[in-house]
Amino acid sequence: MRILLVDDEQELVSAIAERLSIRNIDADWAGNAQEALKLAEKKTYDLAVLDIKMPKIGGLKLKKLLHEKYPGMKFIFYTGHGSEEEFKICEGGNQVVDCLTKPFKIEVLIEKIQSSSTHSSSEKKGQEK
Amino acid sequence: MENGFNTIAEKGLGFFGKITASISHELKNSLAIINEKAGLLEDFALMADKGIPLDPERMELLAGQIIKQIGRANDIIRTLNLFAHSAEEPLKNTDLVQVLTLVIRLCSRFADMKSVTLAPDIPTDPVTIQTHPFFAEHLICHCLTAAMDWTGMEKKLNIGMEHTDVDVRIHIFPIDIAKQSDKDSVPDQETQMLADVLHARVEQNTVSNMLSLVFPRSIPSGECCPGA
Repeated sequence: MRILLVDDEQELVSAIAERLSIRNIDADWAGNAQEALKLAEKKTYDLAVLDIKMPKIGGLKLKKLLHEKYPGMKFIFYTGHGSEEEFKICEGGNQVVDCLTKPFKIEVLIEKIQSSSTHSSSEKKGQEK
Repeated sequence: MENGFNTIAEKGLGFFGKITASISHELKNSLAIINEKAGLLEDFALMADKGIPLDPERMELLAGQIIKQIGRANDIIRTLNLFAHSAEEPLKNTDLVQVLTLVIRLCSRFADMKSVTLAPDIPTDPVTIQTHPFFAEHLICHCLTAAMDWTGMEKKLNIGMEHTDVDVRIHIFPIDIAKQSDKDSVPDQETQMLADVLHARVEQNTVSNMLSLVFPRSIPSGECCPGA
């Protein structure tokens, strides 16, 4: 499984990517939406982990852009504050695995990453019905 | 005027909420970075237990990054503290340079979100006026954030200050006045109410593409602000 992490706080996103790599999870990172779209053109990512609030193109808009190009990609969002409005995004399904609130434990993120494959198969089962 | 004061108080509470929410978001970013950098230190310690040698340079770098974030968080808290205390200040002699500097700091995250560069060129010496600091912050912040939607191609707002014995002018420029809609033009109702309370004026110059806030040096006694 290959993960794409996107956050304008580059010290944060690079550290998360490194910690995932230490745990043998293949992760790349981008500091903005444009960089993320370029990376996605070069490599196939199964899951994108996106900060909701970023300058210019925020996480929600980036998700839309990535989803249009790569419909199989799953998404995990994270945010500084879990407002009701932000967490409503997670209820909608549509390839969204979960929403996390910063700061989070790396184990929690890994659990969500691992559950994304289950999320995928349960969605497929739902579609078959 | 009573209704005006109630509306201003209500809008002021909204402004206070908007700013503190933004500041707490910034603080969360610092905490998240500290969390991950400390996590990396922990990871490296666990790897060292398994025989992978520690890299002292990397350790030093990570420690330095954590210290930098603690400094950043401390600055954010200091800004929050200044802002919070301004809400309890009465009408008083106030350094408008300090007020403007604080507002620029408070609005910097909104500017970042809109990819707008704020370029202040303001006096370093105090410029004292008699005003209500919190309402002045509200008025300046309201105009500055509105102007962020009216920038040109360069997406840059210059912020200047001029002063005479009679008044002090804060200039925000260049703005593309054609970008204003009926809904978001200035002075809107909120701006006008704040300006009235502070005996200030908000002017737009279509020739110089400039939004100017004009504050009087003093306010007639008993004519400003609820609780003053």
